[in-house]
Amino acid sequence: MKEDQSVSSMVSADFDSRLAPDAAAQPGGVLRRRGLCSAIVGREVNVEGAVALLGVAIAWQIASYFSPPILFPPLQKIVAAIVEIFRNPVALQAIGITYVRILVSLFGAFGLATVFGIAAGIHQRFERTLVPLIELMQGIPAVCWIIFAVLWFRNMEVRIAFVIVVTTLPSFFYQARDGVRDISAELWDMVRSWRPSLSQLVRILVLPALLPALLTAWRVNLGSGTRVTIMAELLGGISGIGQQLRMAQEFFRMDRAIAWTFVLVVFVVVTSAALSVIESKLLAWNRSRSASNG
Amino acid sequence: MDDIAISFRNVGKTFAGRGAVVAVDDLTFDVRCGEYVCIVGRTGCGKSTTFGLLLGLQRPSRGSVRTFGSDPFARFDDLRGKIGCVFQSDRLLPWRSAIDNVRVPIEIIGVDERRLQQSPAQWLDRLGLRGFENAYPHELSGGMRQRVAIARALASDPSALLADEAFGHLDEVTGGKLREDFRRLAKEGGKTVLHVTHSIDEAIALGDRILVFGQPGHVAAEFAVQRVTDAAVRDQLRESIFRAIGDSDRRGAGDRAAGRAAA
Repeated sequence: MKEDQSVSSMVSADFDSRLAPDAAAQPGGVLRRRGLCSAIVGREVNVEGAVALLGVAIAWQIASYFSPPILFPPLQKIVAAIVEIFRNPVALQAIGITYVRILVSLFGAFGLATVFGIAAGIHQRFERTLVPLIELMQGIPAVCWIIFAVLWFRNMEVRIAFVIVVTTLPSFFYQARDGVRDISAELWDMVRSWRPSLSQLVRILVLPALLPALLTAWRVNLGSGTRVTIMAELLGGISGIGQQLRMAQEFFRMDRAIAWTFVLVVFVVVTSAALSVIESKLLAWNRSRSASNG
Repeated sequence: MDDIAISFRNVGKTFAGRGAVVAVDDLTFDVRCGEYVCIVGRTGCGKSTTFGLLLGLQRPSRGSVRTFGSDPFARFDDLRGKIGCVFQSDRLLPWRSAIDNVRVPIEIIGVDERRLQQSPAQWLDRLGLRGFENAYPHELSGGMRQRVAIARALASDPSALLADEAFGHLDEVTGGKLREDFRRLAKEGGKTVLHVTHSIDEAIALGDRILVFGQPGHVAAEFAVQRVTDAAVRDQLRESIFRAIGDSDRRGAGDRAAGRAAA
């Protein structure tokens, strides 16, 4: 025990003097805890942007005095339509349906693409097999996939899920594959020297290393998944926000169309903020590293 | 024969490709259980390839490699938990805290931490890192990170330790302290150690035996190290090893057998 203590005292010289044990014990301590609300509104206020948005609102309101409501409905009418959406159970159901569709399909695409991407990153044969298929998938425009889905599948949910999966899978795939490729050979050898099973290798090394890239892919795909879902609902849907938008168009209700668009924007902002919260929890090591390097 | 922990017999390793590269050629040596053997040699003499072969990460082109009686490549899983490694760079997982990095081999081997003689926290403590258990690698200095790597190598209580230029990139004072700690902990635990180093002084300070590698990887000379404090004797040994390294490059493959010497 004495010897151990002497070792401790002996090595204290090589400690970085800038570090205090307490600070190191709480590596994320210097970072502000981020909740969902602060992730949404905690950004620095962009005065110029706010002024620009205010300008557009004023211009819109002025235009509403000189145009029919089908072109520029007054702001109060738009606000009333938004309030109506959040009060109406049918409208709330439409929101729920669309969001469940987006999220379930994105999780499906994420799961499939991550498995394929890891396989392609590890084995060249998998990559040579999969990449041409993914490139083909990526080259086909989303609207063509919608047409294929309408012709191939009778079930509405299957159609939408199919379209979301095929349009978002490539970016998840490439992020996963490139993430695996970016893991240094040194780390591979270090972990492999302990002789892990494949599942241990994936859990201990591959997935944590991929996490930043996969979260980035989620950000990108939330937007594209939302767009594709709305398009699919708009063209052939019998439920969801897309269908509500189509009804707004058929009844020439610009106020409702804008209100539903607002709901979509809110969804993307909220889910993006939720991702930021997840990111700040799972990637605390990365954020604090950036902070210390910065 | 049971006394032999690591055995290389006429091992060759050629990397195929455009212009095949012979990294190791006719490499033969043994390391007894509990022995601390250092390998010295110039850059490119196949030291890292030897490590890859020993870990079973590469398959030998010729000859046989045995670690505790098992072929590390063909029977990869047999050696799970038996070898701990300390590399030139710390190779810590950046998303894991110091203590979670130490836990990596324990998780892989699947041992209950409570059944280990020393817990990861105790290893960190023994290596002077009390209070830094939850720090991420980027929050530690180079010396501290290397200490975590040593704790990781020792945490699963392996029978053999491999060190590849483990202290080469550290400053003299930090490296010196780490060397002492590493040797002491290895000897206390009765570990078999194979330590690759560029430093002759480090090899003399740590090894029971020193193997001088020539290019391509083969044992060009061998020195037994007496634990002497006489500076003149050590200087003489240093000079002999230095000459052996120089000779190993000039001597042809046919002269290798004659190159073996004992000091």
